Amino acid sequence: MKQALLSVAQKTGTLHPMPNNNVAKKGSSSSEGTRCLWSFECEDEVRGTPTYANGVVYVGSYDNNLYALKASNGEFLWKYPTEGGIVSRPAFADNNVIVGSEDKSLHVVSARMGKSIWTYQTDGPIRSSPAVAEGHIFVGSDDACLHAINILTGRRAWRFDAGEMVRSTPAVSADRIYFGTESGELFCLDFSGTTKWRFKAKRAFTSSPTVAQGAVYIGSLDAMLYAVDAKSGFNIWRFRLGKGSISSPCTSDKYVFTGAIDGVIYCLDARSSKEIWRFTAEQQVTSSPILFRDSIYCGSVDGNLYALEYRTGRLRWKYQIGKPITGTAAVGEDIIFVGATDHRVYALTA
Amino acid sequence: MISFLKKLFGVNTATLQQNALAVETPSAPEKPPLGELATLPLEDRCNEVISSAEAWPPSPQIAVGWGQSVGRQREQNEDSIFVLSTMLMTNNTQTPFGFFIIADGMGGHQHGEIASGLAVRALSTHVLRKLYLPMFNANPEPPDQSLQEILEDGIYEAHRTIIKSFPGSGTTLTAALIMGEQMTLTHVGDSRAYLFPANSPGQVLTRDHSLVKRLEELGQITAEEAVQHPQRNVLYRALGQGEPFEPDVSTFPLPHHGHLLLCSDGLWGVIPEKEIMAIICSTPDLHLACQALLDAANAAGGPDNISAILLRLTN
Repeated sequence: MKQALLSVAQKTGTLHPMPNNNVAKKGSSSSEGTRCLWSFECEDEVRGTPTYANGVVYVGSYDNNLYALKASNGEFLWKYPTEGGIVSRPAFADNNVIVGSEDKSLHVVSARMGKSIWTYQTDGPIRSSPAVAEGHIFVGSDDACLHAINILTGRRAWRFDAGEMVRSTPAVSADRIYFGTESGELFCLDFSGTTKWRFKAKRAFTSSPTVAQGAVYIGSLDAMLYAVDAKSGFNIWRFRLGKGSISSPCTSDKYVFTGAIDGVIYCLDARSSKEIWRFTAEQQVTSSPILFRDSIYCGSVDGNLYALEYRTGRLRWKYQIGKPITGTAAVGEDIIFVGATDHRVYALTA
Repeated sequence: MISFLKKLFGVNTATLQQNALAVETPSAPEKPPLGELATLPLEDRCNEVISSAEAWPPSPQIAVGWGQSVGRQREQNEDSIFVLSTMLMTNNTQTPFGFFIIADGMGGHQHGEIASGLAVRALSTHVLRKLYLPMFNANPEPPDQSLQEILEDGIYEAHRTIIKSFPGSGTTLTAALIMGEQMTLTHVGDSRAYLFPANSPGQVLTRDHSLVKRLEELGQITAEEAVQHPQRNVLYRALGQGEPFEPDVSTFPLPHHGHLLLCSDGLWGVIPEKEIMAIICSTPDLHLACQALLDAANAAGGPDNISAILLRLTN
């Protein structure tokens, strides 16, 4: 069976184990402070974000496939083809993997076998990532709607017309759903799809909101990072970035982190919006930072994945992939998983 | 940038078509036709309305009391306070709105009482004009500034007003703006905001802009020495006292249970924090609690003007 799987891997996606800290790929280099455990090559760019669940990494690629890889060694488990590129981050719920595709469909696939459970069609490519809550999937689409779909039946519970493409990934907190639109509106809906409030920025919200401590944090292409009261929609503060942002913020106990197209990873005090530190990459940061233990992990279009001490912004290590990283890293089993536009998915020690 | 974003989300159709052919392998699961929805038998739970056990709790009710005393050693009151607590109808929901200010005119300077009064009037006028009054429009629009920007602009305006009207005078100022689920504080000087969450120790939300606090932060004196320090009233930042002037502005999630206290140093500099907390917790009526705090400060000598605004937050 293993041979058969390896054979498939050789045919359809190439598995590259990388022992002893050696990255045997031209254009890459080893980095002090981390070690590449393995990398897996898809047939086209990996612009989206992997998801880790139960020892498996699920990741979509612009080769149209959703891949399942064993987290510990990168072994190919299965792949599921769609008819469009996948930039959406898969969600994992009830032993199913849920992912949107540019073929306009949301696909629900069994995590074990990679077989289709059901699909749900929208009227536009899906670049938003699904969020699962209360037995329903919430996902945006380029058809300008946020869709609420029953996870058991694949049937639509409701559809909310947001007026412009929804590429932002919804955040669900308490009984509210938050998401941005390409027209620069941040919506708060209740579970019946009714608008509770809306907040307007000057340009698009491609970034996905993060909810923490009663506040919604989201970046905009108008070069602002906003903190908005989650209940009323009042703007608490806004912080001017060097350029616009499609990076989605993450939070710690008292800090907010985000990247921006000016190539900077920012750390702000969540209460005062004062800048705590900034780290300047060599090119744009469209990837979103993630916090794991005492570090922030964030990729850049400069081809590096950076690990920074989250309190100080000090560089712990950087791993040079050499091709732009536009997606966000995921973490599981103390391993950082990240995709890149060199078609590969990498597993690095944290 | 636009071209980069296009590249990020754009699709190379030719490449995809090639890849679509390449991925046809024996192991690939069969993909159902697009748009064909599954026809699983309906179960009751399939039709359940989306609901959540974790619904938003209602916003806390705000009750407020306040009190002032000239103290036992001063001849006039140089403190000023402002209190406004109400509910606003926004987005079809009731939103708590509260604005509370304490300003302590600097003794030893000219017109301390005038400076504190000017500061309170300038800041309250600014906030009410920018934030509160527009809520009464037929179609209220959210302000074009953030809550922190409105407060910061207001305190700068107060600072400029004092410099222009009564140069040489000065005042502290600590203000709390409650809007929805957030509490935004702005602060200059050594008046204080305390939070006493239910069943938790109290915490000071503001940082004194005083010489002794700085020495304490630098480890040169202890907290006990700071209380007795001869220069404990020396401030390095105050409204009306020239540049550099930079107010602290920060926002906290509004606790749903507990007390918030704004007070001048005539209270916190005289009564230990534990005693303040004991009085607050043992006196349900907020006006009586404020009076008890003033009485305790006067009983301890009442060396300075005393002002207190006490809020109780309950669900």
